[in-house]
Amino acid sequence: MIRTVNLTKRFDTTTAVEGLTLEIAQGEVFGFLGPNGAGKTTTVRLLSTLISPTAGEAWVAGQQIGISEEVNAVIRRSVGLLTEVPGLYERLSAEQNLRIFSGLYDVADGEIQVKRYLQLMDLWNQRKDPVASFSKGMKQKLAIARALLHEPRVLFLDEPTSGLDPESARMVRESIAELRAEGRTVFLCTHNLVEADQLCDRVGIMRQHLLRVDTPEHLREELWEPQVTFRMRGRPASYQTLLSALPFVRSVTLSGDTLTATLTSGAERQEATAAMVRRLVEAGADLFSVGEASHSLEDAYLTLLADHQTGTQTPRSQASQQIPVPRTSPGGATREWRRG
Amino acid sequence: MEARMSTSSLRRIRIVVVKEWLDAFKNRYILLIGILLPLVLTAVPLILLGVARTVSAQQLGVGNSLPAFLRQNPALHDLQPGEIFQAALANQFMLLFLILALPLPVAMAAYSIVGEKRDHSLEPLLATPISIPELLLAKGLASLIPGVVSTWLCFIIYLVVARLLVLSAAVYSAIFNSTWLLAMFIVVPLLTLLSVCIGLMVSSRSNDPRAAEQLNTFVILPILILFFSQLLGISVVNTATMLILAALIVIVDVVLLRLAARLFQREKILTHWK
Repeated sequence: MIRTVNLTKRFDTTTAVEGLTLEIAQGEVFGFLGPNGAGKTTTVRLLSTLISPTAGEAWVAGQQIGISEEVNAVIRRSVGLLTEVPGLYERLSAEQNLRIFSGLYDVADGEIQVKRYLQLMDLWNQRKDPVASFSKGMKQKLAIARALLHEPRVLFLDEPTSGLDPESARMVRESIAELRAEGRTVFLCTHNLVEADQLCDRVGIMRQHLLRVDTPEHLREELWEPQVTFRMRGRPASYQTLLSALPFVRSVTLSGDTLTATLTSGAERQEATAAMVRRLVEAGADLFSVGEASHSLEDAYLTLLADHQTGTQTPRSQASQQIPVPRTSPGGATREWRRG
Repeated sequence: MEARMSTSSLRRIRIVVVKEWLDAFKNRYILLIGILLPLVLTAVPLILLGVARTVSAQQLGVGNSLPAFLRQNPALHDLQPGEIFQAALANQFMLLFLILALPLPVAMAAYSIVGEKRDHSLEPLLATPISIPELLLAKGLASLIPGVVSTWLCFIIYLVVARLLVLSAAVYSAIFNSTWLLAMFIVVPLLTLLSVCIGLMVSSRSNDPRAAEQLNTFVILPILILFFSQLLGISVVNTATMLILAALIVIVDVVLLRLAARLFQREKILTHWK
């Protein structure tokens, strides 16, 4: 649905995007991550034909960008854009805002679509109110409605849940999941890495050029070996050597009442954990918690960016020495077993 | 296909024009200069015409000292000095009517772009299938039409009320001749277009609509020079003067339209308009 080959954009002496090669499938939610000024907005502008590339090629919804103004207009028809700032007509009502865009996108059943999205975003009762009187969250919801109004095949969403209350943010995340189910492609620029982890099939980490593209899970696996934490009463230090002797354990560290065992690459996590628990219990350890220490997407993101900055590549074993954060999944569950 | 294309193109232009009006006419400043200023500038010459009706030329001390160029005007030959004075006075305001509504289109053009920049609404708009010429045309028309229409409405008010204030029908026919029609229906739209181009161009490079309004002085200035030179008897504004003026404005309009089109490009708008 989106394909870029060596896509490059320079502004005078500044290179905003360099040699971006990327392929995003139909129905995929792709997270585009990177610090401010990394070229994310420029990439979105290139792909939505708002600006022309300096070099390279790109295809969106089957059409090559920049071939002609007519083709660009066809692409723009297939694309929905949610900018970082809602950018609404503040003096006009919510309904007027959507009607304008419904007309510009030539939506066949415009009035029905306007009503549908106003209701979907819970803005129907405020449809006649000037947008200036809306809260930040309401404006964001209206901007999302505007991006979806013409049922685009590709959606570029820049910080879609920014400024939304938790309930609305969840509604937006559910909408994104629905869009994926409908086979639409979502290009999600976000600084909310928990959200990216939860929503995205794959993420791309950008800093002028693409540093890495993978699923959040693979990124973590590539950077860190699996780790298991054991919390126990008594003297955990006495069990450190016991665990270190196991063939699938690379190292064991002690911190307070917690032993953290780093497994060797290729170790089967469940079997290894079960074996370690057995050993500890047989040796008389008073275990009260066993958890799988996993790293967040944020850890992976920050590690990759730091590597890029220093021009090094963090080896897995070294990355594993970083203090693991017990992973709280977007659903809120920590993968941990507690006794009693 | 061509017809369909042009229909959708026209529809998009209409949508943006209506959007601009809905937005602009909720702006108090635009309303003030769009309604109040033209009305005041229409009332002033009418008041003066009324004064000229009640006070004779002799009382004003201009009876026999009317400038020679007025006496040379064939339309005024058969009129009495008081009538000539009233006709001359009314004709002075023709030039005022040329610039009467110029602040409105300039402010609208400038605010329409600066406002879009300020509210960050330009990017979503540019992401729609609207083409840049369509957008430029829509923004231009949205600013031009209210300016021209407001001038014409004021002119109609002036025509109707002046009919009641003139000393005789002969004065009325001496005042509203082909020169006035040329001024109102040819020069006013051309001059307004010139102002709109300035408004669009300046606001494309500036975040301050006042910059466009200040530059608009350059449009008003030549008209004011003409106004005062006629008042002082240095020049006469007649059909020939109006034709020359129209021709000059056409040339400037063409140049400015090309410049505006060059400045008004999707990428430049997004990356340079900060």
